[in-house]
Amino acid sequence: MPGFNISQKAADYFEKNLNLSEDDKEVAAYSVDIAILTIMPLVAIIIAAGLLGCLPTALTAVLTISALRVLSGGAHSECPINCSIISVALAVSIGKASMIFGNQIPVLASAFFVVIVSGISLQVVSLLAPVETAANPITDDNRRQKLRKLSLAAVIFITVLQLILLYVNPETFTRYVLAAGLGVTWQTFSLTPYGYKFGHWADLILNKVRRR
Amino acid sequence: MKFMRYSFLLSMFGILTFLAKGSVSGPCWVGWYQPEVPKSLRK
Repeated sequence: MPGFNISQKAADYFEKNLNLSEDDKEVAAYSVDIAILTIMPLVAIIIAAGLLGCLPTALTAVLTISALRVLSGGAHSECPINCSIISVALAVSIGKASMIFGNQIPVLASAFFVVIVSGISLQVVSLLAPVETAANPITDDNRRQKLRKLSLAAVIFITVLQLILLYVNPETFTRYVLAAGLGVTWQTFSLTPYGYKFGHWADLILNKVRRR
Repeated sequence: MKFMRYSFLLSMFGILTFLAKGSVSGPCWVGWYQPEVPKSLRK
């Protein structure tokens, strides 16, 4: 899949002024691509979540999903626009749901939710992670093992942090714990074959809508 | 002026390369779209 036009232009500019090799030019174009792919959905999430009054919980969900996703991989979208739409819809939905239900759920139920999500996530991560992509294949088995261990460590770290926050100040933190829990649930789902099917299905629908 | 521009571009390229190398430490980038990783960065 080709990158953005602006990335190619930036890479050409770097090459012209810094006498870069072909490899370095490719790296420059890729790095501008991922900078755009980070900034574009993040700005859209901040605007949408800010307008809907759920910015802190939406950002909690984004941070949790991103931390796990960079280690465990998962389902992907076929183009950057679909990626941004899915990211915004997901972050805002989790953020809003956490704001609405965060203060209605008893602390014990929240802790139970955290433990159940963590248990399922650990099981799925230990079986499936890291879920690689064709654009960034993993060829080294040691690296695969390392990423699996890091993914498991990340799930355990997030769970411990959620339980500590629930213990310290449940009134303030339940909504953030819920947002992080839903983030872990989503990321775990995206590792499974059902997550891949959902990604494919979401792409089909978004492509149809965008063509109209 | 030429030196300033060269230094600025070199710094920008350094930061971008650092970002690119960091992004391939995992199996995918954080979003829902993974651009093709350059061959020189593949692990």
